[in-house]
Amino acid sequence: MKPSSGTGSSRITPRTSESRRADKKEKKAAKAANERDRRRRRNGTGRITMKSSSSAGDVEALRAQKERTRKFKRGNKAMVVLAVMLVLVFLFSSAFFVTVSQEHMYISYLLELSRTQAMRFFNFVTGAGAEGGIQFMTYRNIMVVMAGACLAASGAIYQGTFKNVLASPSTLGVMSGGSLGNIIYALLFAVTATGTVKASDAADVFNSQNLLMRNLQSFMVLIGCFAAVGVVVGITLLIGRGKFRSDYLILTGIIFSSLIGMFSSMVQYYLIESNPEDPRVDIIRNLTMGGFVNSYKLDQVLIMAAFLVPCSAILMMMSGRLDALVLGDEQARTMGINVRRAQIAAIGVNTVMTAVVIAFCGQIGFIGFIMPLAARRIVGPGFRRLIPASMLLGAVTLLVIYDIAVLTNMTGYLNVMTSGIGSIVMIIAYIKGGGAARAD
Amino acid sequence: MRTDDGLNKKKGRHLYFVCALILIVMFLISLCFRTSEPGFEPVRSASNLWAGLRIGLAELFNQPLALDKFDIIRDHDFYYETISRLKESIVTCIAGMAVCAGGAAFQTMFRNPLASPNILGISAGVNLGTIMFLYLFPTTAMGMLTRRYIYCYISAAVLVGITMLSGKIAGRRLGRFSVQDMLVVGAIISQFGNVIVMYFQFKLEDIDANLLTSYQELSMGIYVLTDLKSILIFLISMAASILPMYLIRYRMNASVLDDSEARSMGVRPDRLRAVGMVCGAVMAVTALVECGDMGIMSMAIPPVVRYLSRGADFRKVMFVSMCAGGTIMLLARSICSMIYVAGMALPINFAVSLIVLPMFVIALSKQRGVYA
Repeated sequence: MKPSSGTGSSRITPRTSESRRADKKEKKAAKAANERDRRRRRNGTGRITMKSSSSAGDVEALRAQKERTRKFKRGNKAMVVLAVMLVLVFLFSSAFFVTVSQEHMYISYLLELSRTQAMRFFNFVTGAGAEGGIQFMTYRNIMVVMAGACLAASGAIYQGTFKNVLASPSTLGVMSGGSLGNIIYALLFAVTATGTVKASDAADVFNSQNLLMRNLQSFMVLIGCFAAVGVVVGITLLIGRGKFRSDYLILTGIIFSSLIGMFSSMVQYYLIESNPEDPRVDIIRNLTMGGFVNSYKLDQVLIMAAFLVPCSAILMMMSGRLDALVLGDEQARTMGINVRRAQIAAIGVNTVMTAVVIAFCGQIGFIGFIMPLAARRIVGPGFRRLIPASMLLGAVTLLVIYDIAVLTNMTGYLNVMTSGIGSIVMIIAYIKGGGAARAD
Repeated sequence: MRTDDGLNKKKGRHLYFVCALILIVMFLISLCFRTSEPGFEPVRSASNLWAGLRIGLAELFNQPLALDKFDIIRDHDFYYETISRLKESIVTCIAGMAVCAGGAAFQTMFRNPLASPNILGISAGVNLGTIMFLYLFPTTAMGMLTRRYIYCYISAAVLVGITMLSGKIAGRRLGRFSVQDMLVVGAIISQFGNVIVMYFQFKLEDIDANLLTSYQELSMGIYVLTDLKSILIFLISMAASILPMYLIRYRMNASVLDDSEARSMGVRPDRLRAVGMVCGAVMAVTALVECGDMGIMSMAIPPVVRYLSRGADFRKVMFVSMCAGGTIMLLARSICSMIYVAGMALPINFAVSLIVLPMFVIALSKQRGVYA
């Protein structure tokens, strides 16, 4: 809330011609400032036109503008640094990180392995040929990068659109919807053949399947995510009698998530009770722990990129509208924006992004919750740079965490890693800096 | 909200009366269900309970009837089942009441519809305590369930303590105390706790799949473990938390106001908040330990009650919430006793959510911005 300047005092004082003139002057100045502001926003950059800097207010505005420009430049620098960091971390982790069991944790052995890995990666990049499965590791790292970027971007959009830090893919029921789809897959479609299966038979089956059948689990998870968001948004609209209120959305999302969580644990309980060795329990459980165990193929990378690239492009195009949404429904409406349509579009695009990540990589917590907050502190709240910054930051962080997981042989527990590291960092940052929680 | 005129007072009394009546009726209905298999037998339950009462009184006053105890028990079929059903119903009812009272208090204190003991990390703490307990005593855990209280209390206290401390430190640094900060920290910490629980679930499964099943039974509230010692602990901690909360119900209304206004009314808001939080936390932990995770109630029932009682007077909201919580838990327990999946009763928390969710949606859709 900004305190209104001047208008209050002018109402109290008797209206002389002088005060009236002063009022007029003030109004004029305010109008000019508004106009300038709008122009600046349209330009996007912080360029200032030095036309009239006569009154004190203008000097103040000028100074603020300069400050903003300085911050903008600093944000740009931070983005460049982040991008360079991402490239470096990606190269480093593709070329040097190898999974080693704990018995073989010798420095010399690790160095030797890393050297071989680096050679293979170099060969693969230069097109000299892939050996030792290096292509799969590279694809997996690409998937990690895309997953981190997707989650962080969608977290940023959710937090901005609903003006609430608690809004993230996990609180809005997207993740639990995914797990519901996964449960349905496990119960109805999962192959639970017992006994030995010949490798050649399995290969025949695999070759006879089409793309949908191969990725049936991911497809079901995707459907589950969409259905969950539909249900949550529908209930919210029902509750708000057609109005869209963000606190209701979060409330509904949390309750929906807890319901699905209970359902999931109930299904697991009955499955284990009937047969402790049931493979379907692992199918259900692995999604909740997150991980890239099954995502290393080129077609998965392509599918994910096919969703991610258009979605992020749409989000970037919408960034101005999203900025306006932060101001509040009324103000956004006065700025000529169809609030409902913008919100629904944002939620839709976001859901697609998150759902794709959940479908291929399982639930990965905290990236969508912390990274936008961190990015907001680096580049400020404007979506035009917040989205790419959080994408970069999310990608770098998830890649680093994944590398740590690879090194400690904990890739099966990626959600534990992200949440453990993330929550500790978050709490410390929160205590130290305070104020990180403001979403506006 | 002004309720000074006689008509409103009368209405309020009617509301209390109706709520209490519904609770008692539901309690009696719940007693008539069988526990080991589906069945509804009011007459048998009544005669068994009457026999139990006679035997108990005779034992208490050293009457000769106590010598015929075993003959009487032999004559009554399913005697022990009815008695354990009685214990179960009492525990379930009080747990539901406590959870709802805690939720109402938290929402009033924090002036936020998302606030509940759950979100400070209590639910995660209880689950963490349970799983640590099972992990530390894998073979003897189910035999010494009263010790579970210690682990659950400690881990819940640790998580809540971390939440409050970090919320407070952040608030002090910023020069203000904000509920939103606390909620965010609580959400982070409870998510952290949940993930650790998930990790330990994997570990438990590696040791023994049955352990995982028993963890799920304990955390979902498939059955209530009713040995006398744990019931005593339960009742004592419930009394120690519900009574203070009930005594400060008048002052709780003042905590809705600004801190300075509350102070001018002779209420110390920070102390009030501390008492309310401790009581709410103790209630929630005790209820969750005994009946499994049903924290959704603490978030969903108070708004429904505020809608039904048309106001946010804490005295009214607390009483009606308690009655509603007890009724719904008993209803859920009865439904669970009727539905058997794969030879086992339905977990109670799932039934609770199924009952609560539609009510919550309807209440919220009719409500217009009355939160605290």
